[in-house]
Amino acid sequence: MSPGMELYDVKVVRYFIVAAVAWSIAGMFIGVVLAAQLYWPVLNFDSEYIQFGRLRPLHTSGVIYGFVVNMLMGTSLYIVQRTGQTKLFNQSLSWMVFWGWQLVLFLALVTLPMGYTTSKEYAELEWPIDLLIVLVWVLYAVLFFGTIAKRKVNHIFVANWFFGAFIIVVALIFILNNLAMPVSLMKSYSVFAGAQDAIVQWWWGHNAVGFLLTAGIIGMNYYFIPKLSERPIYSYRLSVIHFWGLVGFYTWAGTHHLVYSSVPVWVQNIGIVMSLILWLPSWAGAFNSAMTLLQNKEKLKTDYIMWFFMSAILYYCLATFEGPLLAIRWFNMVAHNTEWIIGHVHSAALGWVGMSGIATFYYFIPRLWGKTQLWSNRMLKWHFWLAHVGVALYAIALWVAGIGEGYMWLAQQENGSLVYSFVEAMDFKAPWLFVRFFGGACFVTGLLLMAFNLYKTVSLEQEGVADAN
Amino acid sequence: MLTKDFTHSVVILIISTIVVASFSVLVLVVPNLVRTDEIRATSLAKPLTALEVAGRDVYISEGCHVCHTQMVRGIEPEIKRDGRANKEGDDIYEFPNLWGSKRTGPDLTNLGRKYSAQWQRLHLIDPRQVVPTSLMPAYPWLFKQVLSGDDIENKMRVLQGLGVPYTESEIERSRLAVKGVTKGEALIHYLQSLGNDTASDQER
Amino acid sequence: MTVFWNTWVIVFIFIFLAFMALVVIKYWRTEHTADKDKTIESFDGIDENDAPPPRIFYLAYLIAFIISAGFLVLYPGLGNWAGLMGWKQIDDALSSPTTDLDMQIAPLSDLSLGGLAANPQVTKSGELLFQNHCAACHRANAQGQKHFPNLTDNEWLYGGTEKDIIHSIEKGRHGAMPGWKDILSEDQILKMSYYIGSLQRRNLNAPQVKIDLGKEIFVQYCSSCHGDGTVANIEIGAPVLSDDIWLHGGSIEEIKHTIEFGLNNLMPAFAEQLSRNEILAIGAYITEQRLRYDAKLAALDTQSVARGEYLANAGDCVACHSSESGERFAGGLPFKTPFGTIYSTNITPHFSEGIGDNDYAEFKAALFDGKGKHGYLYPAMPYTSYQYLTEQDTQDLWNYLQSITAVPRQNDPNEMMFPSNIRQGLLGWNLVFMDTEPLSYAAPEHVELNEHELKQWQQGKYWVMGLGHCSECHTPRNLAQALIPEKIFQGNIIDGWNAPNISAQELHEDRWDLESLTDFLHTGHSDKGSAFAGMADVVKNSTSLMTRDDIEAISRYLLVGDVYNTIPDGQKQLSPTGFVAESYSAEQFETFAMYADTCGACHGEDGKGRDPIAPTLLNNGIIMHSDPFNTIAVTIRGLAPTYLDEERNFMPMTSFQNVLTDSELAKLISFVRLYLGGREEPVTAAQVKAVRQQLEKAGFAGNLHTTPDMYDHKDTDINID
Repeated sequence: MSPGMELYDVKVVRYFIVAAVAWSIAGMFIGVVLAAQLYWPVLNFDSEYIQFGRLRPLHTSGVIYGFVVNMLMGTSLYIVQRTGQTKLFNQSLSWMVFWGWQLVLFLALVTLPMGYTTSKEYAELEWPIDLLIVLVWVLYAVLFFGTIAKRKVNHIFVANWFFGAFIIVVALIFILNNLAMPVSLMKSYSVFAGAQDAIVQWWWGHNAVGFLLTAGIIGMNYYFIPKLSERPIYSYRLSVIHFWGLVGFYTWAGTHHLVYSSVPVWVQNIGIVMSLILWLPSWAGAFNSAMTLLQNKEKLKTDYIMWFFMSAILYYCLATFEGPLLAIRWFNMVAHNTEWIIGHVHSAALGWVGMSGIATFYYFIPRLWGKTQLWSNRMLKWHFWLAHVGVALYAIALWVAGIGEGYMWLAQQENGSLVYSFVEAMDFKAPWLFVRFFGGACFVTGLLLMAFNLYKTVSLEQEGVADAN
Repeated sequence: MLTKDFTHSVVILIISTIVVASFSVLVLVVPNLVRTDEIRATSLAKPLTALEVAGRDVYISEGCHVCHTQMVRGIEPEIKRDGRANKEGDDIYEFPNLWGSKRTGPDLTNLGRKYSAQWQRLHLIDPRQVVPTSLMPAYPWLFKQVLSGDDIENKMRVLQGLGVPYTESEIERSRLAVKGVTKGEALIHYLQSLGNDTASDQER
Repeated sequence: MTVFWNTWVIVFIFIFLAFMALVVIKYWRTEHTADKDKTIESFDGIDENDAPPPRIFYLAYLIAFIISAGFLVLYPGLGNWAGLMGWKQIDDALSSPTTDLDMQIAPLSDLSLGGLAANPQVTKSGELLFQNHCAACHRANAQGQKHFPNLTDNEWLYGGTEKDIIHSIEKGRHGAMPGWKDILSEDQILKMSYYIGSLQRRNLNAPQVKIDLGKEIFVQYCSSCHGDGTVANIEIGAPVLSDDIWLHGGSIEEIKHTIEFGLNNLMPAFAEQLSRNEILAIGAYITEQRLRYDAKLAALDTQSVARGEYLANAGDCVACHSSESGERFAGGLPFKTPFGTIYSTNITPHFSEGIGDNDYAEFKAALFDGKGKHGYLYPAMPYTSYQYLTEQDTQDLWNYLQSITAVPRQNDPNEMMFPSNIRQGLLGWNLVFMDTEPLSYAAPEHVELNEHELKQWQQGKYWVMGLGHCSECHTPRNLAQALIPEKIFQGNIIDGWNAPNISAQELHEDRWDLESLTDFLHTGHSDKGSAFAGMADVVKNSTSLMTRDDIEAISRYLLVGDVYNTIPDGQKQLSPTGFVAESYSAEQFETFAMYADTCGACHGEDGKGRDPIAPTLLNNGIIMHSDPFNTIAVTIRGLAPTYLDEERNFMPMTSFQNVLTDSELAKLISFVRLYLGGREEPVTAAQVKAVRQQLEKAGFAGNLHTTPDMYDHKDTDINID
């Protein structure tokens, strides 16, 4: 990267990024184990600690809190310094945030397999850990906004708006959703019940996706895409519209998870309306990023990191199309509760978040350690294709499985009797679950190549590049 | 005006984000949180017994909700498959809700009336013994681990504080009801209770 | 929602949408100020340009807002506003059925289950309902599984009238039986289990005295519900215990478990979950399944089934395909091989647990080629022998297996070590070791036979080489567990016994003849001793159930021999002398005294046996046998009675391994073999020691006294090694 690295606090950033890479592999590896368990139930090993029900929250928490949050904390603390031309607000605070967050992750790693869970999706951790999360998050917010406040440039860079929204909204939704009455050290009951709780939970659940996996990643990309493509951000005004559209509409969309449930119909329908409108700012943002990237067509021809970003944008378009589609009643009727949802989440999580993260790692990590070139571009290519074959197989398998089983659950004879039993629908999708496992395994294999490649890159003298390409 | 400001001032950035993001909570969440009495008025729900509470906590702890929903949507074929559709008042004592979001296994809302306890036991110990192509993990250890009942009184009291109408004697007797029971048996008691309180609501 | 909150909701939605619209409109109106080459600001080397968003984006926003407004007017969304369309969530459906079950049943006049079972519309609905509500317990085809009854077999615990069946579905059933664990001793429960087990035909080797004692206990404690075990009581759902239908498992262990822990069996009531017509449809489906099963059984040719049963006996299928004292043909017998343990399988017509999902071609492929429906079979299944069956016999056997009771016993998972657990590997085994040449019935070259003898010989060859699969035990195996054809019938160690050499040469030398060998195979007893251990089971389950003519044919074939199995010219025959003066001479007297104290006590001082205590040792085929293994082994292991028939139940034989030293045993056995068996070469102490250690290692070394109790603890594994 440009000279003057010593002007900024980068050590903590390196720590965050290494943690992010480690958790991306660990979290997604657990995902592959889960996928295998769904095809070969014997892989639950009759063990209470690694059976599917307990392992699954460890996968989601590992990926969301381990991989994504570490990556966002690391990149946001880097970007906010560079774009504000200032050091961090407080260096010791940054280490408290880092180690505090790693403690959270360690506690998750221990408590979830032991069966300590609140059952709330993506908010499974029990109340003492929740308190720790809130504490670390507040420190992070102080650190981030404090650094913005002492910036030496006039404007706040667009990436920082998105990071800011990510920090603020996640704090709001996390606290409200996790309000609980403790029973003992590792057991509590949510203060909300039934239908009311469901509204709170999905207000959280969907916004966790919206602000962790979307706003945060968008912020990261608003910095790295123009950096990598060496071109200006295409449209400033589009980013403003994108920002407010996202912050505004996204927060409403959660109730589309409750379509046809027992929450009031008007609550569901408002969620549906907002979800559909949300399509527009989402694609507007994607357009902005794509135009930024496409301005450097020359580099796009040869640089696989550019391709990773391009794929991320395309998967973002796909996922933000699938989302509104799923909110529509007739589609929701078939797809709700099926494998399709898992496919949708993963085309976003692997395609959008994963590819963005991978591109960022490939671009950022060498520069963070003062290198300019990857150890092996051939390995990068391999990773690119492994990742794409992986996601494509994953998504296609679960589209088929999901639509298939959703249809089979609802199909009726002429006289209204059900055509298929639940077991028949389950048997139908079994081979597709194998394809999904295979796709996931491809993706993780790619990650291992990346980790090896990056390890070689930062540990070798720059002369030791494996191929000349 | 606004655009100029939030890009220049961190305070305005924070406040404006909070304001814009809060509309949804003001419209979707707050008006529903204040409707507790209205929802309870229509409810048929009966509080779980102490043993069922202990079983429900096993259900949560093992992550059953990860693969099983407890939400029959109001769609005819779904009602045909899984029984009476949920109504808003059904889950007033569900702290938190266990509706789930994924049906890897079937919906369990009305499970309590469908199987014998023996089937549940066989199925939990080895699902593939009774359903040959089942994907479910086996849970043999549930029938080896015995509950002490030490924390059940606290749980009942917390639930009472949240609005479940437990009597003092129910709370006091709860430890005796749970002590010595295996996790598996408690879980089966919970599973067998599912949907029983609404069974009288014949509008399926 | 109250008016206040309703207003609150609507107001905030409008404020929000207005604000969102404002942002869009503001930029739409200032679109002309945008310029894609204008740089607004630069951050860390990143320029922010100000390109105009595409026009279609604003248009799309406009359309979205208009549609949303229209939607919120037409449909619920704005708080309590119900919308102009009068739409209700419950109206949504994926498909629109044109009729329903009630409408289909309403015009029908015959509402009996039998009548409805003939109506495909009703049975189809019933089937679909059954799959959703019943199949998790009763299996998809209503054939049931362990603990959950078969609904297609005309056996009903609570009565099989239509009224009873409907009652069972609507109101449920609750079958309870107390557990006796705390009331009766384990021994009492075990005896009772033997008694109950003795009520059906099964391979139960329990001593009669235990069965009789068990009956007394049963009558005392169980008769108020079960009578003598042969009657059902549909008031309380008590089953007949003397048939071969076992809801909770019919092996002795399972019966014992049921008695110990009792039952608390519940069929849930479905009246609250299903409508009357839905229940009728389910009843119709069950009835249809039952009638279909009845028709399938009725269609079987009775003669063919009878012949098939004879063939199944001849093939001794039940010996391997039943666990020790377990349900017939339900599998579960472990076979220990050097590569791990495999378990015989359920070959009853149960669809999911047995071979009910096989068709004839699949059955034949398994029987002839070792190709099971779910992978290659291990060659513990003697398909290498069964391949010689005629087509007609194969069909008869298949028909018989169709006719037996479907037992829902689940197969045990095999415990084979890698890589032998990969069944594809067995294809290679088959290619290398399986001789697929058809069996030759050409007359043997080494002997002249008259026409009758030849016919007998050919018939015998069919039995011995095919269903009889004698060589599976009596022929040595190579490292890959394949039989060695050149060493046919030369004996092999199985289960800690020597399945003896039965080559024509050995039989000739040991003076077996057509009559003694036929007696032995047909009754288990002969002038040359009695069958014991594995061979006793073979006689009991198989050869004793064949005609004497067929057995004589088998004897003829074995005595005459065949390729690789000829009698060398000038082969001498043994002529045991019995004890002669020399035996009592001073130098032999010590040994004779030892004989008189041990063997002689039961087998008689003359060694000619004493009915009904012990068989003859003089001329005994085992004593005369060239390999002294079994003679040594029997003194070390002792011997349990075989219960071959009521009249000739020899006493159990005690083990001498803790009474006599290896050299004493060697001396004793040499003495016995010399005078009673005509074998001159002595047995050494080293030989005795080797056999003893081998048996001890395999866990077969016997107790000091082998009593009837030994049966309760006997080793049920078959160790091929």
